[in-house]
Amino acid sequence: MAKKLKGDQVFTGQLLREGDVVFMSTDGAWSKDLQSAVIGTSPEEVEALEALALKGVSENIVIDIYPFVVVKDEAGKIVPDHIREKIRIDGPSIVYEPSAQAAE
Amino acid sequence: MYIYDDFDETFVRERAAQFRDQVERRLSGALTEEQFRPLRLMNGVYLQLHAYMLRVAIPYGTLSSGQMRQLAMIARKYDKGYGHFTTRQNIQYNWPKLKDLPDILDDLADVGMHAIQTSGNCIRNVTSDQWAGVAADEVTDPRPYAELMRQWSSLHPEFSYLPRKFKIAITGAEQDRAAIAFHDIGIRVKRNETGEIGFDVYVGGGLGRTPMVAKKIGEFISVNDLLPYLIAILRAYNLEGRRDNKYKARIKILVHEKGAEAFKARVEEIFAGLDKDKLRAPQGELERIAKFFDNPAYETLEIEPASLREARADNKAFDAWVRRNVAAHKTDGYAIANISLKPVEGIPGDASAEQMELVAQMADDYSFGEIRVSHEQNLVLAHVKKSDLYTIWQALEANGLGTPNIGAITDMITCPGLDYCALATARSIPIAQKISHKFSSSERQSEIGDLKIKISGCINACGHHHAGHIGILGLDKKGEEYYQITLGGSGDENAAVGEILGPGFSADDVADAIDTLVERYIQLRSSEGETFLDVVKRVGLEPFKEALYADH
Ligand code: SF4
Repeated sequence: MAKKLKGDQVFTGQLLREGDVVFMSTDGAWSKDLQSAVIGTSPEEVEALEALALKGVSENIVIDIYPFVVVKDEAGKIVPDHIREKIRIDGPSIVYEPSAQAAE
Repeated sequence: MYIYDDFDETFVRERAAQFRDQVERRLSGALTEEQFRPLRLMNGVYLQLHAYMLRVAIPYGTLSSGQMRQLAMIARKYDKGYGHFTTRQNIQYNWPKLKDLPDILDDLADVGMHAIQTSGNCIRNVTSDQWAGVAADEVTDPRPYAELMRQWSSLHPEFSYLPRKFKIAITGAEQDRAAIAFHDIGIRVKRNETGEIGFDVYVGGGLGRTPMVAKKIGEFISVNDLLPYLIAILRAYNLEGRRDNKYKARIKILVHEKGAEAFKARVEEIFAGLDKDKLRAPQGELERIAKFFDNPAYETLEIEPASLREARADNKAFDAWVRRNVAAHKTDGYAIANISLKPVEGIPGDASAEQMELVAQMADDYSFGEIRVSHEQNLVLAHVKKSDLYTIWQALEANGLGTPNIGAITDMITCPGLDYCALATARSIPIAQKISHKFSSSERQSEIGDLKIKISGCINACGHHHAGHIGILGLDKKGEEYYQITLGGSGDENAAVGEILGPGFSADDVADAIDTLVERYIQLRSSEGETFLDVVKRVGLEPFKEALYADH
């Protein structure tokens, strides 16, 4: 599957216990911070990352892992290249929490 | 309303206990995700874009004030302080944690609620008219039959692994407020000249990627034969529905491919061979159920109290709310108060824990402790005295629940879309908010009159866009959200699937496009009484296409 995606890739999944969105950093650790994610830049690297990510699945840390394409912005920050992943990372694009709505 | 007996109570408790054990085994690693996934789905637990999501069943959209308070408590304790009411009259929580879900199911069981059959290829929550039992245009109250079907379809062993999910809706009114024509089975309760009750049964309706209007196959099926007849339909579907292709697995495809007449013949053949006496509800059961739906203790009241007239004359905002949100009740002096969950630029269908509690309080104080959820994602107090309307409105208005827009252009059905949904191709909520902003003036809304906009964030059509007078479907075009507009759909007794107008619009341009369509409608209508849908039916799509695409 990895070879079909064009571009640099990061592995994501959701924490089994909480459901929170996380990204895989070095050594197969999972973090909520996209900036700590490890980027695969070649099909071989992405394949190796996938093997590592699947370890997170078999160890019951994460579920539903998959890779997505990222780019670096001018400031060197990792950003996704598709709106779906952007919303998934930033949270709903609307003001949804009642407390936040009241504060508006 | 119906109250669980020991049997229901026990099975809900047992299921919650089983799920606790399943979650423990999953968290310990004894179950893999592949093993656990179907188990969590059987209990309404999905994995969405940001988190798990829990869908709780609200049978035919009716709940007690105590249940509503518990829903508020759950929102506050385990979630982010709000819930989302859906087009299946259910409620969804967007942020529960798997580790908390067993506790949530226990808390739900404490008030006779659960999440069973809110997912999976089984018979889902039976939906109905949100004004059931009180509507002035009702032939008879459909809720006893809805409850009978709930009991019959709960954990039904033969129908737990259907080719695909299965949705049933029932109405007892002339005006169809339950969108029965877009259900796998739609039921219209009728009464003949001699006063007998019977059911017209429609099959094969649905939205999604292949929208279809249901076809009538059963004519005035007797009360006694209702369950056997449903069994015959489900059995025909279970045996012959396609399991090889998820997109062709709904009953609508079977009915379409086989033809309604042939499907009807097949159902009748199965029906004829059934040992019906064994399949009917036990003697007296329907009567037992119906007692729960007897009228509450209405008082004898004057038809139109002077206090209401005066309050309307003195307060324009209240008057606007009464005109839009209050509907005729079958009993003199009473009214149906509809509470809009579509505030200007709000999130359609969302309610905060505080709002849920307020509605529960209003129900206790003024509406016999009962609340309804409509498939259009609003709430209803079904039995209020007209003389209490002003007090109710003041409390609602002070808490963001007084929007006077039921059935108006800003009362949009909107699915969660890409802000929450893992399957989405585009956002829905921000589009609804932009439209809501554009048409926020209530004068403008009343000038426009009845107009139903429905928005889905992908082809699955949870936002019923096919049934919208104006439908909006969000798609992904090379990574950009864009929106296809359909016209002329309708979810009522004259059900129709909307037709695509032409090329889609960007997120920034949708609200302007809707504005153009509305302006065109105002020019075209022959009188204020001619609704948007009437005009579309009369003149067709062309004038609207011209208005939209003239400069392109
Ligand atoms: S229509 Fe699509 S985006 Fe909207 S809730 Fe359904 S599956 Fe999700």
